[in-house]
Amino acid sequence: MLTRYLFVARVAARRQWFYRRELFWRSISMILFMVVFIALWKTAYQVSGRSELAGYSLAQVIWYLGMAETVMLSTSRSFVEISEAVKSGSVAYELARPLSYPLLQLARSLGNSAPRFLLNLMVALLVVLLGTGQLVGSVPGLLAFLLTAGLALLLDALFAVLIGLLAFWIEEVMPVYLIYQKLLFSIGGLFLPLEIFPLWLQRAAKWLPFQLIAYTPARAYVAFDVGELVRGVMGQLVYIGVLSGVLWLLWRLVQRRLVVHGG
Amino acid sequence: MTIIKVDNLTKTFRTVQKRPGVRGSLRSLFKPEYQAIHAVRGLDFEVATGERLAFIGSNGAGKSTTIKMLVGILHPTGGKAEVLGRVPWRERAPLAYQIGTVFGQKSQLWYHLPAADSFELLARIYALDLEEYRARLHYLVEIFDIAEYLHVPVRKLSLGQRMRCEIAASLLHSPRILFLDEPTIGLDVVVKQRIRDLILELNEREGVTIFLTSHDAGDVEVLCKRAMVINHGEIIYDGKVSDLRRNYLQTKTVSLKLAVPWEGFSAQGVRLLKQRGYGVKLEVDTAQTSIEQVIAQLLARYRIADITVDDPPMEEIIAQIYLAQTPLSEEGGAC
Repeated sequence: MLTRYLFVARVAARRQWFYRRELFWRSISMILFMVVFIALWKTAYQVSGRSELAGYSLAQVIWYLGMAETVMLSTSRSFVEISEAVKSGSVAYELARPLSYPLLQLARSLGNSAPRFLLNLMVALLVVLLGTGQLVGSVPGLLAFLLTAGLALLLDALFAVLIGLLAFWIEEVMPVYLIYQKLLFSIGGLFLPLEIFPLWLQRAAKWLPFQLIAYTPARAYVAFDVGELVRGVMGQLVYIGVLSGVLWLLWRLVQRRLVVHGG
Repeated sequence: MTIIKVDNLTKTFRTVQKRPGVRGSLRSLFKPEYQAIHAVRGLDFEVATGERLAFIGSNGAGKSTTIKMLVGILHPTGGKAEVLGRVPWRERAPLAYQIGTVFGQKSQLWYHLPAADSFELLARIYALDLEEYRARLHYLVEIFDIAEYLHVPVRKLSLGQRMRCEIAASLLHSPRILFLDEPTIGLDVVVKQRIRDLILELNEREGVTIFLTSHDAGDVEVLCKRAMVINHGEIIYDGKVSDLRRNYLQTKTVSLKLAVPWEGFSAQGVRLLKQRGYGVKLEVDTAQTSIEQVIAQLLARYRIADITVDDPPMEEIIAQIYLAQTPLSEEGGAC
């Protein structure tokens, strides 16, 4: 049973190869983004005259950003495909398969993410190494990063499928995604490590799922700590459970009031 | 043996009525006004194993809604249905192994990958035995003559080539019923005929029950023995295609583009519909005169630049059936 979903993921990964031009441009955008932020952070550290901000050295904060971006740029954004299939009605085919539609979409999302993640990781390592001239991180840090990044991508895939399913109710789901994305940017700790925020905001952010996607893996890489890792992974697992439950409920609702568009 | 049984099947959609303007939109948001759309109203029918059934109706008549309920992806508002002894919307997954679907306007093949990849994915999804899958694929590739397109990315195929691959894809798991929703839409005459031949062959070789919806009178005539006509969610005709043909499909339209001026033409059962400059449209009652005769006579008299022969459009046939069934008193005193 599971092998079918694995195969779906494999085909999705293979399909990425056919979008290799898009993959290439994505990595170019990653390089541009990193170059800008390396310059920004260098200026920020110079102006402040300090060698550490919120416990991060200049090199650490740039490595943090590189790893956080690696995860962020590897997310599958499968809500685009789902909402388009709903709008055009071609969702009918996939609904008629002897598979669970939400699981099919999750498998596909992860399959889409895998090759992107590998490419982004290589580009990020190279750009950050050249930009900082310093190798930050450790082998346990890298392993912890791989584990938490994998869970983070699953968590994001759950969010993306949930947002995609909203297309059965609302015509345009992009605004919902944009809100989600901005939450990842801000209290998710994509641009700034959470430690830089005021304490009350840090506390609030730690209870929310958004920091589990970018902050948790990036933090695990630059400042590996077993206790922190365990807490991070636990948080990810709990939210994966919660979102799976929400997805299951939402899917039941969809089935009950499903409208398939077009002829 | 009965393979599909439908009893008083009903589907009503509820949509929010949009009011015009910004104020209207705001009011719709907070105080929505719903409008009920009765897509399907109380269908009753049965389909026997191996039957080839055409399900005809104009746009929005409820054809697709019915198919979607029969394959289990839509829940009905009321009524019952059994497909292969199962209630489709309750046992969608187990039923999915035994039915195939082709939606002519949608694709199930991965756009950027060769069809072979989609086939393999489907084989996994339907948990086919690898050996059996290979044999089945070989067989379908042969019948559908798609060997040369199998490894070409789907986006590079013509619509006709793609459609053959689409139908082959829905037959990989050897379904017992094939639901075809407008399978020949947008195809040219030659390809249409090819697709029809293939469907017929499958029905004869494997006894697959064919449940077809189409806009094309030709599809119905060639493919099906029985036709059901649905209008505004109700069945208004259920009978033999041969009867349908005798009663409603006996006229054809001949459109001509002449190279010389029109000087009139008369033959039994031929009526002038329209004439404008060098363009002429005739209606031929084939019960009285055959198309061959009419064309031969026309060719003998005129130099002709272009000629096409068409079946009456499905909408017209449906309108005729509808009118024939409606007693005159309900026509509101029309003359």
